[in-house]
Amino acid sequence: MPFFRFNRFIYLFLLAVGVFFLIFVKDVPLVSGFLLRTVSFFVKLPSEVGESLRKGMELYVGLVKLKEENERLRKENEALRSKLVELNERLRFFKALKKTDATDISLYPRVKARVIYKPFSPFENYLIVQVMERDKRSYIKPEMPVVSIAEDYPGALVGQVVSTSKNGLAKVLPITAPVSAVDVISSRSRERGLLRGRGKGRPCLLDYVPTGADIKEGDILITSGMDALFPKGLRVGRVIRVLPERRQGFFENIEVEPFAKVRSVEYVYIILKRRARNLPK
Amino acid sequence: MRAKNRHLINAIFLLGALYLKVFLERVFEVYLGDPFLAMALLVALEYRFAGRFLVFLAVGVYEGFFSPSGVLSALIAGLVVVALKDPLLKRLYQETPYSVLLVPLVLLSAYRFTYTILIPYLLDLPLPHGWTLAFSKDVLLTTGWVVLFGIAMRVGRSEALSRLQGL
Repeated sequence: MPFFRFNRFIYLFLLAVGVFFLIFVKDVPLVSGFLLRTVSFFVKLPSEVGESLRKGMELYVGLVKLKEENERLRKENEALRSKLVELNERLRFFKALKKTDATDISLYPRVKARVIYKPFSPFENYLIVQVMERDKRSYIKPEMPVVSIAEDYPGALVGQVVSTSKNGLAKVLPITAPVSAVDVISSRSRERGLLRGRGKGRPCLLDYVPTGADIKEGDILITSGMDALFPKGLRVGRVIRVLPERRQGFFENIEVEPFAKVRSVEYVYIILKRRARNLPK
Repeated sequence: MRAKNRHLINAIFLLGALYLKVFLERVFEVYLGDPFLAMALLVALEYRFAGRFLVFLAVGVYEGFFSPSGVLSALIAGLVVVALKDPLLKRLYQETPYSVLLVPLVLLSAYRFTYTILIPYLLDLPLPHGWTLAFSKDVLLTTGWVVLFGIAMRVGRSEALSRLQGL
């Protein structure tokens, strides 16, 4: 009987140590990587089976050719828009003769990743992605920007990497999450604001734009590069509504539709913002 | 042997519910409630202290991974459910069908309110826009899963136990 009690004591002690690690040391890369691997292990299989089934159903039930054409045109449109914004940015930079400011997103090194799980609950925020090329799995680090793919060209901003594991898994915070904030500017008027998420399927909020600032419906927002997280010039979203009521009496109430569709995104690029070791030249 | 079998069956039920949740979300691309939480609630309320703690820890690790509230919040929300269960069952007249719906509805509302609204509010974490509707939809759908699993488990467990004992 004492032996049984001793065993129980060890069991409870180990449990307490485990809980302590999970709760208080979860931001340590080793623990967050372990959590990422554990959760991914359980969700990967049903996620892939469900995805295959959904694709199969779509293939047979849906209007296949129309959907494919639509998808192709959407990607082409996305790529052209990215190009257009980039060219506009270049034009603006050259006009202002500020060559030192010029950035070209396509020149950033990047790795392709597949979304292996995206929760649909309004209270769950993060995505899990996995880098597809095995030799580049060690390149990804927290705080790296994640963008959609538009014909092998970096598309619109999806979010940022929060934690990573050694086998190329990454937890991504999308820009639609309520805890996300991105520093953006209008590509037309250069007015600055903070884009905050309001949950899945909801337009984002452009916050801290003072009353009377030059923001109109249809304005395209790009990252400002001033938050030291996202490089300048990534497409983020379009202003869809400027509401008449003020926020906190000082700020405009502006709704923004993000370009990246977090619900349907399947592949993404992780932009290697930091200089990772062993990067190809 | 019987207790071990029960733990094994409960673990399989929990894993199955998690797979079902992920699978359904991926197939239909809409939120259909949380079968994993529903099953965890049913299983946790069967156990005593250590068992409940482990089940809510598993739920906490999963939910804390995807939301900013964290593992500890899920454990606190689990404690709220445990504290509510006995008074609720004591005061309810169990012989009527409405109690089958009311008990999980109250317990799930308490869990979800603590975990997704109260604790994020206290930690100054922003809530999604239209959280009241999202909260109500979530609780109602998950209650549906609890009722469904409750019925299925009664039938399924007795069948599984009799088969395992026969092996």
